Amino acid sequence: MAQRAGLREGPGWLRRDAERVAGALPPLMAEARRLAATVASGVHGRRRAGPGETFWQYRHAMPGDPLTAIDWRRSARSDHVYIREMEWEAAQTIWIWRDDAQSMDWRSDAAPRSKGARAALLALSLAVLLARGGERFGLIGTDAARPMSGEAQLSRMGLALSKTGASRPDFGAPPAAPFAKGGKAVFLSDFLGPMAAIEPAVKRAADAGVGGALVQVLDPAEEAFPFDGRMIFESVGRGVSFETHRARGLADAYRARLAARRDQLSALARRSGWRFEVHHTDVSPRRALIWLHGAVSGGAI
Amino acid sequence: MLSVGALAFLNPWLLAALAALPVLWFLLRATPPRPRRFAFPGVRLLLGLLDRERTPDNTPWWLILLRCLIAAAAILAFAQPVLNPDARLSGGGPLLLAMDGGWASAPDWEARRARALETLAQAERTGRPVAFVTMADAAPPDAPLTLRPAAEWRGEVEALQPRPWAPQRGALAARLTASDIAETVWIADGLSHDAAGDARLAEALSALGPLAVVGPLAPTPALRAPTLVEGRLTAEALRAEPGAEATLTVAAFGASDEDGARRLGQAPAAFASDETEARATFDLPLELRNRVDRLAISGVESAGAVALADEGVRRRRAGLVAGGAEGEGRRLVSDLHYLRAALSGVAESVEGDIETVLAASPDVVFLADVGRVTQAEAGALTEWTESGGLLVRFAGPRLARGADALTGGQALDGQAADDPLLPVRLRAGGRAVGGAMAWGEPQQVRAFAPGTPFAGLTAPRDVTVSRQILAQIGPELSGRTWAALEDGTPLVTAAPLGAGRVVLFHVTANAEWSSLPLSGLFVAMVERLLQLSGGGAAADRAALAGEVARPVALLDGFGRLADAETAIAAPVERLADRPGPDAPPGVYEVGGALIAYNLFEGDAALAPLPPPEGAVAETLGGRGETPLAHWLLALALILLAADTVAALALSGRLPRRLGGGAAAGAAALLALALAAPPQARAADVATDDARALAASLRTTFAHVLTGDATVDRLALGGLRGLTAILAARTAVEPGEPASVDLETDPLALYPILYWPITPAQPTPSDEAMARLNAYMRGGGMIVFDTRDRHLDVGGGASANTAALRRLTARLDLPPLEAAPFDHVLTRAFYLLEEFPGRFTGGRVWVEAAQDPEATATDGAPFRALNDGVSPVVVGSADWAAAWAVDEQGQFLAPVAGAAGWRQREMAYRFGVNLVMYALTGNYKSDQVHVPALLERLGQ
Repeated sequence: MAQRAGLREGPGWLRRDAERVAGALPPLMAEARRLAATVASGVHGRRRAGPGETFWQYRHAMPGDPLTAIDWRRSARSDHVYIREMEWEAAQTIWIWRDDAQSMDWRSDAAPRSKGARAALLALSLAVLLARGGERFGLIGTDAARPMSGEAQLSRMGLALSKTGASRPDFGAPPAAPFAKGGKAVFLSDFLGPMAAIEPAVKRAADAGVGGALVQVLDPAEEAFPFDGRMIFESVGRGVSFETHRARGLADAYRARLAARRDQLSALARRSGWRFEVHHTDVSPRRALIWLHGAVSGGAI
Repeated sequence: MLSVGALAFLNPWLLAALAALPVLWFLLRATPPRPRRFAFPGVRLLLGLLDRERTPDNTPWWLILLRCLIAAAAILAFAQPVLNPDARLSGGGPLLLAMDGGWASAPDWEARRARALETLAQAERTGRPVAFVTMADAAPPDAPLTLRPAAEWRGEVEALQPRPWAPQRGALAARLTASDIAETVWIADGLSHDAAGDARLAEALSALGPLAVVGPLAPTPALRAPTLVEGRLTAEALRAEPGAEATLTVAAFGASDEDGARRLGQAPAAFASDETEARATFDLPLELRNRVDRLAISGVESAGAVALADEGVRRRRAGLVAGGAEGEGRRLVSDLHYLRAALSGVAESVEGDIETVLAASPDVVFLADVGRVTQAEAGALTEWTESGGLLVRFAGPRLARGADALTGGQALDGQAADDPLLPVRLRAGGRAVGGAMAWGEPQQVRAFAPGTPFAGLTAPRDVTVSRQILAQIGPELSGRTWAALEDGTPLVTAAPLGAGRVVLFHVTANAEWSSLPLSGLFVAMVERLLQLSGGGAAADRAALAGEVARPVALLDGFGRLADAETAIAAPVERLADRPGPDAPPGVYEVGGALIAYNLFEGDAALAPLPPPEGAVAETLGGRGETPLAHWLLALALILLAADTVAALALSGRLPRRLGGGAAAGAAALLALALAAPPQARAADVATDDARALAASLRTTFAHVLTGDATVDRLALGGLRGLTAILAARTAVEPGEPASVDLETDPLALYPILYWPITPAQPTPSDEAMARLNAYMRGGGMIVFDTRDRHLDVGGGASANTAALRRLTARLDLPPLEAAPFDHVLTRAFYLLEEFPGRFTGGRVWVEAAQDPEATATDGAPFRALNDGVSPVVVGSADWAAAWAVDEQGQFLAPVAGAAGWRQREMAYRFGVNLVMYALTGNYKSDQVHVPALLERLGQ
């Protein structure tokens, strides 16, 4: 439904789509909030002074304060000696990428949601958690790419997640983003596209000093390959096709290839100091969300 | 129309499509299953993989076979196959409708009539003139066929009855020579009655144009005239076609002490495989066997299945009395030895003195050289002979001395009456010829004169008589002489005595006086005498040549014996030939003797009718044409479903997890479809229990399910209406009436079982029959209603009556009688004079009164009989229809006439009486004393 909206032009369709997007946002947001509420944000709690980049408050210098901490400019305007405190900022910036390629729209009968929907839910839930923690976050490749904090950014991101691009590729790859050092990146995709497109993007982010996590969102059918008979497999965008005479005979080879792909991704993540996780659309998104929360907010990164 | 045996195709040209099946085979083989397109994001991972297995390109052979079967079934279905096709009239022009109409047509007469009417209707629709011929009816051989519009023949066909003789097919062939018939429908009986005539007719009919022969599924069996074999009554059942083993039941009927005929016994006639004859041997006591006058194959209503018995088959009981004491070791000169030998095998003999012998009520008494009898013995003998006995006396020394005494006494007073136990007056002493002291030669026996019982026997030349006793010459002597010697002296004389006869052999019963007892002639003469006894005459018709046979009772086509009224007499010689229009089978009287004239005498056999060349054969009977197209289409659909499942499974599109489930589901569905009725029955078990409980808690009436929805509805409605009336008027408050299936439901719960008769009703199985018999023995009452009083215009051959006869053939019914005017049914609750239902009139049959002597007991105006309740009530007034109301109490069937309401009321009253009779039995018969009591009180 959503991916075909691009084919329907005209004011009438625009308005319908707008209504539909506006209508679709609250459920996604509500679901994301509900999901995020189940995750206790035990790590953050940081509305206080600490090492950071932005100004937090001036306070009187106390005995024991290091001399270097005194803000002399402020102290010169009064009789007291003041110390300038900065706000403690743990993970400053988190870039989230949700793959919105056509392959993510696919869903087998065994799964309740498409991979894209699950990825969007995870992205927004993570954003909710981040917003609650005060972090700045952005959705790469969309209007909400600039990392910002707060509710406004959250709704911007929700809007971006609900929108679909006009022309989408068969398989997605993380786009280039102005990564800043010390930030973190989360890539949500099925990573079934060519490795040649995925690897440089991760490497680029790692080079920019960004840690992160790769989450491979897969359909159970993609894991099990429950097909038989004479079939022609096509990519969702019809870009790639493959004919087999007896699909059942390919199952083992396919699974071996999938495992190899996973090993590649895992090795890539390890080399870049990132973390790698596989998530299936038929299991609860909570597990993935907890894992993600730990991955982006934990000190391990 | 293409016909293959019992199967025919209405659109045979469609069968040409079957030739395309091999092409279909190759096409299906060459086409692999089309690949399925499927979107799959993981496709990139598959790129470059090699198929290790391949889905077979060729469809497996069994799938092709399945598909070819589907195609074949569809083609066959659209070719419209029918089983047992009705012949359809093809061309135009005059149509000949020929019916055999003989005895062999009788068992399925209704079907034949219906078939003839249908043919007439077909001809009527196309406006073709029809000539209708019944071959059993005689017509002059040169009479031209009459062509008339089909409708005009209808009445004739409807009134037609089968004849008790064979169709005269050759005669029809002669009439066909100069006719312009274009097409023929021949409703044949499947038997060849006269090979030459049949061939002529088949040739003539084939020459005329298209010919359809409508024959029965199997020709009817027949029964030969009964004979005595080793002293036992036997009859051979005949069938036309040797086939599998089969058993027919032959029943023997005879006059009973009461009125009417009774079934005296029955015997199986078991056909061995490939045999066309089967012998039924009756093991009956002598008294019963001698009463047998008719044998019939049970369940076959045809003159051919009935064999009449006459005196020839009765086994007689002979009493033997010897004049002298029998000494040991003198067997060959014993007075009785030759008589015993002659009688053995053909009669039972009782020996002893006269008193002993007469006590055994013999048919014939032989007195061998008994000279003197006491006054009492003479009186007993005279009385016995006058009541119809045959007394045969043999001469001998003692009789000669007795004759001396008689003549001596007679000489004294000159007026003494003749001895009634001698046919002629004897001369004293006797004479000896050919002895050593005599002049003459031993005398030979003169040829027997015609008209005597011994006529037709030949006297061997070596039979000589050397001594004899002589008769006094008198005017009556020559008339009383049955056999004489060459010189004219009597050998056997006879005289009537009352209803009986006294016969005297003027020689001894042993070989002392003559060599007659040593010859076969003696045996033959004794047998003739035996046949004479009991009022019969010689069964050898040669003896009766020249006389005229007058029919006493004649068979009709259905094998029912009816008194002959208008039939003309036939010469005896005619009876040697097969029966025909001029001499129907039956019982004839010739010179005081009764002769049974049967369709199958001697070694007559049945032969099947060879089908005429080029004729379309059609099977007659209850199995009309059965279209098979829908079955074939259903088969094709089922196969198609199976093919779909198989194809899905083959191409892997059937989810494996679902595969088993789907197959099991399909199998379950199929099983459900096939086994729906039994399961439905199983589901009824609970309701059955509830019904049984309800029926046993309250008096409940039931009717038998006939399978005809209208009749069943009326029967149930009738019982409902009767139940309401009973509850309103009497102390009987019955429960909801029930419908019972004889095969499955318990019967014992219902005091009355109302059984409407429909022609199409299936005959209950043996188990059901046994339960019905047990039901009747256990006090149940079955009310049969043939519902056809309006059709009962005489003859009693309506379809429902025939069905009733068929249904009850194996029921253990008591002898029935029409309910007399004073039957308890007329006064069980209401006083009724007749028993109307929807129709009035007609008789109601109930169990016959046990003791006709007790008709009027002291002072009671009504019979106090029928101590028990009659287990059956048979009527034809359609009572249930008159009683029937629906759930709202509206009457279901009209009762005709201006006084319909009154007739309905009377029908209800009869119903009330019926129920009271069934429930209270003879209680109400006590009411018969009331008038007498009142009378006494009044005095």
